[in-house]
Amino acid sequence: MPHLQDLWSEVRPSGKKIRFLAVNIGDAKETIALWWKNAAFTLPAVRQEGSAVSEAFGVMAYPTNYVLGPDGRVLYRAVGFDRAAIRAALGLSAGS
Amino acid sequence: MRIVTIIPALLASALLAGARAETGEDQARERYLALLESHRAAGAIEIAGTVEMTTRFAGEEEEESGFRAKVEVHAMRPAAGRLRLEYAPLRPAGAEAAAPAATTVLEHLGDGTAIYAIDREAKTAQKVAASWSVLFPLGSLFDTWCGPPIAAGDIVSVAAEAGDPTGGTTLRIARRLPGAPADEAPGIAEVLRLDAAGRPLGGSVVVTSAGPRTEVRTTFTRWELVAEPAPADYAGAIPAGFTRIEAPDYEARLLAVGTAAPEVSLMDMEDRSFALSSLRGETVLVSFWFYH
Repeated sequence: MPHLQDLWSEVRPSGKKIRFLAVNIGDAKETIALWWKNAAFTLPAVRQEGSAVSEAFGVMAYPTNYVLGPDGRVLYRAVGFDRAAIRAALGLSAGS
Repeated sequence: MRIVTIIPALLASALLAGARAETGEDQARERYLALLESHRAAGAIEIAGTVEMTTRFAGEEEEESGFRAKVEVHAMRPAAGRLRLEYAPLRPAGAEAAAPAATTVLEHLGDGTAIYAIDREAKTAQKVAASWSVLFPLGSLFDTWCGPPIAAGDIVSVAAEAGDPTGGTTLRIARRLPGAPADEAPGIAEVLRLDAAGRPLGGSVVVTSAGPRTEVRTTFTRWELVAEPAPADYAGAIPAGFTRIEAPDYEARLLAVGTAAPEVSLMDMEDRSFALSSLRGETVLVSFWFYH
């Protein structure tokens, strides 16, 4: 999650039309809230009903990341956090 | 009985000059590179020690989460070896009572090409990773000694301290994380205690990930280079009669690139529901994660 927050800290002030959804599965709302508060994450935390969304996206391992284009189609998806590949899919310039 | 030794001024200055040469950056660097080379030449490295991993978040009040672990590893380049890991996850502050920490024992074996998770009850060996660093955060430390060679350019500084009563030396090494850009700050701080012959006695490693938020702190109590490892202990150590299971393909059921995202609804932390499709027109990173 810190990796994602780092990327979010870079994207948010850039003014690009990019949305981050950190979709949780299985944790109590209180656990999420506490972690977010302790970590001072500014990334929006999102929950799902049961595992409906994870299943719809075929998620079997964590973390799994999807990048959806403005038309709602899948641009990128992979298990793990590959910073360079995610940056490229988001249309961010190479580097850092 | 107290012994007072008076060192003549001339001898003292000679000793100090020697100490200065000994602590020179170049010599320390050479010694460290020779140590790495001896690891590569040895068949296996046997390490026992305690590992503590804590994740520090840069909030207003510094809080900790992560896990504490006890590790015994027998490692051989590039991936063979075995490892026994006992760890107790920590909880975010305030959540201790709601979620008591559990201890888990994991056992991994390698066969020289991959690392398998061993289940002795089910008699199965499930392929989990190709290298320690993929397997768990601590693995990057084992890869330091058993994995890809360390590039000389990754070493930022090496300092030596003499004065150990046994005639040994302490090396303090600052390195960049593997693959980090040349202008990045050192992410690895190692302290290696060597005996008079230059053999490692122990030490500690602190790895700070980019952030810098995650610290992995390792202390070694035993460290041997094994020239000829016993085959039973290393290569092919998966016990006879165990079923080998290939790693599951965790990407098998993911939606193909180009597919339209499914119609789903999500909730924010205020319990407000929204449709994923309401974000059309924006690029969306959807990251699935969990804390527990």
